[in-house]
Amino acid sequence: MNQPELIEALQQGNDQAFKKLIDEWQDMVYNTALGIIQNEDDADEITQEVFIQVYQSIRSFKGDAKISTWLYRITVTKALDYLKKQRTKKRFGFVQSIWSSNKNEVDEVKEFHHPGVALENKEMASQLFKAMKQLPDNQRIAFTLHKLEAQKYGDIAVIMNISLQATESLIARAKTNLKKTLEEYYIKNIA
Amino acid sequence: MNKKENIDKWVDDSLHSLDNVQRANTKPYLLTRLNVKMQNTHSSIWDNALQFISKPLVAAVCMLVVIAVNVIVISKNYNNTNPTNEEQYATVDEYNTNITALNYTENIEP
Repeated sequence: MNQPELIEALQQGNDQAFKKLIDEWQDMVYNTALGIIQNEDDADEITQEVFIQVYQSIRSFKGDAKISTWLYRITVTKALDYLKKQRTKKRFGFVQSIWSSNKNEVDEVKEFHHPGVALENKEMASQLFKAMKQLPDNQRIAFTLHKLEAQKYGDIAVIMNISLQATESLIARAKTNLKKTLEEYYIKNIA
Repeated sequence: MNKKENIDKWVDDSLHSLDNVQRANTKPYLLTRLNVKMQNTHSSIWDNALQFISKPLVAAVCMLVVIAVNVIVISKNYNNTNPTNEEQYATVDEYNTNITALNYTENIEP
């Protein structure tokens, strides 16, 4: 079944087509969400939300973009929404912590280990993920798509709906910022 | 290798630690979990509506709207209950309630 046929079948409410869509793209959606959010349970939740949205809005999909691009866009939007909620929660938590005695809950930074990273790179990758958390959202997304999903700059530009130059600039700035954060970390903790 | 070179190497290694990373796999039975979630979503539309209405902010806004509507209606009615002179004359003419008319009624012999 090629893409137009799959889209048509999905628009007709074909359950087999929906199953095929999930089988084919679930890992891509999950991996992207996991890279941005860095939490396995929440990435799983977002993956489910992405496919529910696809199921509900497939009739409005005109087929002008690739299914993968469409899925990436939905995933990125959902992940960003999640990050916004998380920040609001954190701010609220901070306000609460002013009144309560338990201040350990705020700024709790968990180490994240991506399951696809080779064992010898685990520690280094964990530091990189920690540094990625400090990037502005658009740099974080561009860098995640580039590194974890091996997307080319042109594809990232289409997914993020920005120009190729803007994508190049975003990733270059992301690398500079990451370098700076990592340098500070290694100077402080190891050297 | 001096300290600066060491740090540069670690930074570089960290930046390249995601090269050739494998895709993470979803937990099993995603489709089944999705079906359950979608069924729950369908059945809980009314629950969600009730939850939405019972939110303090929504309830407060609804109350303010009701109060505002009441104030508007009352103020409009208040304006309407002060009849203009023309309306008063019309009423007097219609019911013949001026003093002369009343006297006339009283002076009628049985």
